[in-house]
Amino acid sequence: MTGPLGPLARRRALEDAASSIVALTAPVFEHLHQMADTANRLRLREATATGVLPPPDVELLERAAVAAIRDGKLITGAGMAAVSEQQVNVGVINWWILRGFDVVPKRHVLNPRSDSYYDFSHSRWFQVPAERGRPTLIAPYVDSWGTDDLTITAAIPSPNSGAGITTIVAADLDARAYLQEVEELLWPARPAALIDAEDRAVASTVAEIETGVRLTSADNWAVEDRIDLVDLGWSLVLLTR
Amino acid sequence: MNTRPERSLDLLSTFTRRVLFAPLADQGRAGAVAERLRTAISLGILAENELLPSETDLAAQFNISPVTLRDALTELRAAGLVTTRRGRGGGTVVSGPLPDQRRASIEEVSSLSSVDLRDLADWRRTIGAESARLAARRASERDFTLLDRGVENLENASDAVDARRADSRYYIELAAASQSARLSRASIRLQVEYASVLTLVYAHETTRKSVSSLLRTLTLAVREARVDEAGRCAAQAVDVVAARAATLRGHGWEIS
Repeated sequence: MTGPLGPLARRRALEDAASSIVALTAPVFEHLHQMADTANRLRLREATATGVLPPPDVELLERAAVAAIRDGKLITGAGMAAVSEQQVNVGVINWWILRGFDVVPKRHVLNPRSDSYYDFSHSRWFQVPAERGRPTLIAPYVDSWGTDDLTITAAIPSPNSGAGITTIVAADLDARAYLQEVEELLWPARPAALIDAEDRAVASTVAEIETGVRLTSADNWAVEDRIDLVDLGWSLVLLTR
Repeated sequence: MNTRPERSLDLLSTFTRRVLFAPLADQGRAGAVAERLRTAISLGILAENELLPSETDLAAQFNISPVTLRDALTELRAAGLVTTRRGRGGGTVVSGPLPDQRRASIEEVSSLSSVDLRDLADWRRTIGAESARLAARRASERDFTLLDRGVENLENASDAVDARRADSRYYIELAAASQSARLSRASIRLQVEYASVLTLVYAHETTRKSVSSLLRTLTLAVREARVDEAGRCAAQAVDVVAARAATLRGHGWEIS
């Protein structure tokens, strides 16, 4: 299968798709930077020790999270999580989600002896940006005991992370809407795929390369050209049989 | 768009809780609600100090009147299973598990026929094996880490309740690694439904070790993208549990 365009035109189409895909989440990361500024003003040392953010701090954070959810068209939930670097099993998470037309606080279960326990400090949306030390987009995953749905999460470490506390602010995106938009953006460069840092497909124009599958397992396809989306940690590839 | 006060705190958006608090087929019975909550607390699905949703939200979720829910909570309070704190930051919290979880599990499974048990195992095998096969194609490095931790938790489980919880979380992580939201939800629902059987089966340390060994092999197969082997290991792990459950049932669930 090849698209209607020649090699040079396909390369240009891929470059256009790269710009548009980065632009899709640029407003999300702008909101996250504002939330990180807010998080930087919170009393997180006390909160990570007790598991509870003081109410005035919750109000500050809520304003930023609600603004992100209201203004970011792909955002379905947003919040902040922080752990002490000395005691990674103790921490605090405050999160808000869109439910119908309302934004409501979501209470995660943080008791390790509960079946609903949300072990956020070991979640990829917390660990990967903490390890990279930079904004990160987490490829589609099922967020067990969080959203319990296929989720894409944009996350950035807060500057507070330097003070013995790891702090991540993050936003969940509507995975289905995001993937629909990316598939449409990829179509002019077909056959093409958006892949994550592990070369797993985020989205593609090829039926047998479904979301999540490793590119190496698609025996009939090879990478012809590649553009790295450094800001996301992902790549766009042109495919050939 | 508005933000709501704490009264509307979202405590139901975790699927495990939506399964636990699913609407009752037989409406209006406080006893049925109390029984469902008592079982969940007894099996450790709801843990000590865990906050339940507000009475308004919980009654709506169960599809019963707030008066009926209050009757059910009164029954549980009298049994020492929940405590209700009034005022800001209050609510109903789980006080602790029943002293005899084994007895509660036996009461729960006593009505299961051999066909019911076979049916549950068939469904569990289907969900587990397909989750494993898809995970072998789609799992990420992060999923491998989570699955490894899950196996370790089962290996290190000190009792049947810990082992049941570790097993449940492993299968839910496996379904999540398949990247299928539908499989994940089916797996969560099944783990709640099968909890009492697993609690009794995992009282047997040899069974715990057999299953954890198979799950260790399964995790390696997922990591190395060996699709068929991953499916086979998942099916074998389910069959070990099903065989033990059938033996237990044959002895009236009383042997340890």
